[in-house]
Amino acid sequence: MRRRELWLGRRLGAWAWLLHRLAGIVLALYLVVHIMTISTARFEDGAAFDRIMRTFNNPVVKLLEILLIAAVIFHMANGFRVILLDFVLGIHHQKALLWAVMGVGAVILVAVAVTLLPLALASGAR
Amino acid sequence: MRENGIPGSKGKFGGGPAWGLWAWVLQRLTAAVVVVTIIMHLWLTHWAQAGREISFDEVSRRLQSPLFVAVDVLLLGAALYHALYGVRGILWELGLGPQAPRLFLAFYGLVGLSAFIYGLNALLPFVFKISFF
Repeated sequence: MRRRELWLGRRLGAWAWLLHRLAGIVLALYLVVHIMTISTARFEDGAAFDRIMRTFNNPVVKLLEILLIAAVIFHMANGFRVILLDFVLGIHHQKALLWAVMGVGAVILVAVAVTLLPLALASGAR
Repeated sequence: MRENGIPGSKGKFGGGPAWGLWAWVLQRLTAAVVVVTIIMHLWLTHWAQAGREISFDEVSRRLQSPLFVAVDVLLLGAALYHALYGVRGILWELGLGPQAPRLFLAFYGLVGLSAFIYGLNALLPFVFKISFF
């Protein structure tokens, strides 16, 4: 393989493909960690679970959660594009379609962050 | 990198039902289920909490409703299938993990089923105040 074939460069569809997989792997790993965390509920009548939830209630974790939601939204938005392309819809405009779904995704992410962060910070102050 | 697209599909290994095709269709269907249930899941655990810290009692109270248990169980099953299908495709392309069709189904089926049972067990303390392991 020549070097310029290894670097994705301006090939948007290839970047979408790569990021979709990376986000997917991150979300799959999160799912495992999430179930393991929830599994602590069986100890001490839920006291262990409450302790872990309290530990997670800080700005760093809230920021990581927003990043996690960003990965979910990216994966959803590009996944929607992939399904459209499965049905040969917009196949000649796949780059424009990518920008369109990313735009909608960005709007949703901003809406999520703007409504969720004040709630998160209020609960952190308590 | 391998040439064949869908593992277990008709063609590469000859006849038999096109399981690979159905597995792929199910990947799209579970995506839709995850979209709907993950929105409900996040809404219930964050926005509906209105800034209150998530606690065992709070979650336990919510999970007394069969509807909310159904949302979580559906999300668990659909997300596990979707995730495992994605991971197996990536491993397949890298030439990792089981490659023979029968072993393939057995391996990922077993991993998925164990994870599903582990996930259900995690829900039990909230719903019935019990768990098996």
